[in-house]
Amino acid sequence: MKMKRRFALSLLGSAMALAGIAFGSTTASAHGERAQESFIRMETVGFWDTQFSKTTVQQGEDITLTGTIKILETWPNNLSNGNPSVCYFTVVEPGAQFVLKDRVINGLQAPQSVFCHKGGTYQYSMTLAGRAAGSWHVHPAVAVEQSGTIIGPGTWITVNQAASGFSYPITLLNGQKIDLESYGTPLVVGFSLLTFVLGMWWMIHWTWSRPTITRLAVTNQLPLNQDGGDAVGLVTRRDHRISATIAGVTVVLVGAGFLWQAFAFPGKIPQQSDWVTPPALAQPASTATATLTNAIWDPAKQIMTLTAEVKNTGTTPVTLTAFRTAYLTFVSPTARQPESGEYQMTVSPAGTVDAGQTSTFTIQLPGSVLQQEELVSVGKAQMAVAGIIELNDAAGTRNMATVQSSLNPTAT
Amino acid sequence: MQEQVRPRVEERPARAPTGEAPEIPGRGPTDWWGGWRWGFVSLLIIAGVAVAIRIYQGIFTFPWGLDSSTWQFFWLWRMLVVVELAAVGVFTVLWWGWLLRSGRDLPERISHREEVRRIAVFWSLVGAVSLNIYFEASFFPNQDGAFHQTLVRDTAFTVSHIPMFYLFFPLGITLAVGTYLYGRTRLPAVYGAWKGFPWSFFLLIAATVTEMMQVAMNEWGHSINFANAGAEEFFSVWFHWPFVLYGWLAGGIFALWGETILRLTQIEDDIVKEEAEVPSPEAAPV
Amino acid sequence: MAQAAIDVRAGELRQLVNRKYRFIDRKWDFMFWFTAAFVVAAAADITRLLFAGDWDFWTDWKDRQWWMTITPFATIIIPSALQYIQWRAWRMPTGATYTATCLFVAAWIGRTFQWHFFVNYPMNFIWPATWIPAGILIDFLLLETRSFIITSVIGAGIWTIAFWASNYIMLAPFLQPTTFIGHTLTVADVQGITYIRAQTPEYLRVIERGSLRTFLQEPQYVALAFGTTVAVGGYWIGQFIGRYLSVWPIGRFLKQI
Repeated sequence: MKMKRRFALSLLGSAMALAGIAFGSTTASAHGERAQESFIRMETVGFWDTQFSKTTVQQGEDITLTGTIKILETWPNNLSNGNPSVCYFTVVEPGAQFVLKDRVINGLQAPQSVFCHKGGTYQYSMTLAGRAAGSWHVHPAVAVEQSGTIIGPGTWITVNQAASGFSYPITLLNGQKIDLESYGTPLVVGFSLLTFVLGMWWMIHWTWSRPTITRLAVTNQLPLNQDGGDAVGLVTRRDHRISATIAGVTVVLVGAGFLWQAFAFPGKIPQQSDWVTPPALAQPASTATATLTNAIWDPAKQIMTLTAEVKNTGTTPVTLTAFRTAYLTFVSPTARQPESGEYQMTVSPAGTVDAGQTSTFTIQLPGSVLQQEELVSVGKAQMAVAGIIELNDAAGTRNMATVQSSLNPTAT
Repeated sequence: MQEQVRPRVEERPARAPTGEAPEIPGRGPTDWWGGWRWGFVSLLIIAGVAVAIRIYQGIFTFPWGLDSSTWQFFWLWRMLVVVELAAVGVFTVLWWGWLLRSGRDLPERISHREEVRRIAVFWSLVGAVSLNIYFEASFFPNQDGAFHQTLVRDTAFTVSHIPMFYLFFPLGITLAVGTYLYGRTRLPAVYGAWKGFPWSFFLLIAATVTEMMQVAMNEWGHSINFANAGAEEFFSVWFHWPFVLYGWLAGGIFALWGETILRLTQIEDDIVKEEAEVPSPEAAPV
Repeated sequence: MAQAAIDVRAGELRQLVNRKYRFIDRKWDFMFWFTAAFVVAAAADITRLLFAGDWDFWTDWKDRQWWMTITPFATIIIPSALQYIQWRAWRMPTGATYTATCLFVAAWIGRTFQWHFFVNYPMNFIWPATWIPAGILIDFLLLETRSFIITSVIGAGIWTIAFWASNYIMLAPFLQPTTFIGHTLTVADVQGITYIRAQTPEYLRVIERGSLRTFLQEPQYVALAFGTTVAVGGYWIGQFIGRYLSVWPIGRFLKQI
């Protein structure tokens, strides 16, 4: 009794500990995007203006994700042979908790993969609908052939249960309306079960009314290609008859089924490959460029210092507004205040770059954020910093300059 | 002095001199709750563990199984790896140790009845190996495909890898080797040490060991992106194929059934011979 | 005289078939078939999963070029091995059907509890193919011909065609066209786009991509023919497993390891 009680107590204790761990806190980036190497997250793709139209929906209610993705000029040589050419703009969420209803890239509807290129800028609009009740972390992302999926900034979206549950009606070309959630399920389950019944019939015939393992003593004395026939009794004429019957029923079932589907579903087409090339996005007038001349990581002070040279090629002063890397955005407070999910950086000297001038700025990024997101590449095989510097002129024109620098830590 | 010393044999229930289990109705060598008992108990234990883990996954995967950098992931998932490996390790040491120690004390000659019972227990252990292979090569690999193709993996210790690679894979080695030790110590006529090492067990144990080794190659393949094949979740990728090839070695399991069936028929033939030699059926050793 | 000798021999074997044993009862048969089902299902499933799994997981991968070339090869291996084992040991033409039936149960358990309940994909998108009709037909072929050579050559063709025809019945509704995101796609394509697969982007599909030489609607027949050829190879891989890994080791020992 003592042992039983101890065991029950330790089970209860373990359950309580597990509950405490699981429900003790709610923060998680939830997809482990931090585990992807920092050079991949920084040098491949840039995300900006990521917007979710809602963060709480009912099952079946739409949400729209919009934003811009750029395949950066700093795309690494060791991914997709340095030449990204096929992309799939998608959403990362855990399983099929949402459905994707529409996808527009640079104004073009793109149901499947698209042809892309290094330096390409893609404005996307993806419409999702909540499918499974729960709280799910959702990110826009782009998958690039032979490189995998690069994840953008994400947010938690709550899907509330709808009274009628979830259904997804679509209309076939022949006018028939179906629910994608359940269409064809009865045929699949029913036909599969029929084949299972046939299989069991075959197996039961051969194993039910005769022993199995004792036949080894007999088969050891027969050549492989002989069964002894009725005389020996291992395989009898009745066996042949019943087996022929089952095989015949199988042929009839498959044959009739095949004929039936030809008439029941006319006009079938094979799975489609409908890859499109999104039109080039009209680029804003170029009013400024930027380069990084140095990136220093100070582990003692936990500060990443970037030295940026900004050249004003326009006619009005430009402001260094933001620095984006991976799925993070750092904003200079003298330009604007960070919005939810953004971080603050310091830019010195504060102020603008006049037309025709070149200025050098020191940007300081909070190291704790970079450390938490595993974006400080000290100790990795490739120590670098890359991202996008946003430069705004007085008229509001935004220039996004891709920048890169090797990372020089003060200590490792 | 002698009156104070109580021989241990008096404390045990009465046993026949050949060390066999007493005859209890319903507990005979081929009764369901006799020789076949372990056939059900072992299957229920293994299936119970798998179901418990599946339920655990159902509760703790979303969201804590998705982000390996969180402390919740550390305690709920990485520690589960430690618990699994420790449990398998402890079980292995205890079970193999018991098999070898108790095997030394067994009498050299046993009755046909006892040998048949032991073959039934042996088949029960083979059944446990078989069920374990189902969990390691079908039930959890299905989950592996589902998890990795539809979510983003960020560690080698993913939610689906943890029970598959770090519980059922090593448990397969434990069960296969343990079944061999049972055969070697309890079925000397079939697997006695003097005969050498059986090819059937060599292949079956090799399957479980090489599968464990293949885990390392699998993780290497997924992280290295060699020939651009590691970054994307194509389940039929080339560095998964050795799992299949090593799994085929488990075909040796059929030879275990074959070898013991041949021994069963030999026992039956011996019984017929002995009964023909001995006129009185009551005196015939069974 | 020779016939008489044959008859006597047959009579002896027949007596052996009908012999009653002291300890070998039907429980042994049950335990064999029941416990072997797990390892057979596992072997068939792991071979299918890791050689051809992607094509079986999703309706939008079940195309008319690669699905029917790769899958018959991958899935005939273990049934062939079991055909050899069960014919050699029991003279029962049950290997392919037994494997296909065990695989059926394992596949549906896997899809339901992992793909459906765990990550929430609808069953009509992730249903597994069935190999039972194909298994019955090649078992019947072995029964009638008693020859593994004939079963390998003709059986591989039967296996490929029966596999494709029986599963095409279930796939047909999903190949109907619809308009989605401004394009004409199949219902299967729509499932693949709609039900988001975070790490399986659409371009990853190894399917017919509108190759230049589609031979005027004939690619599926070319694929079937090639699938048959490759399945013959798969059949003999299975025979190797059955003969040398399962039956040959019986009663054989390594003297030193």
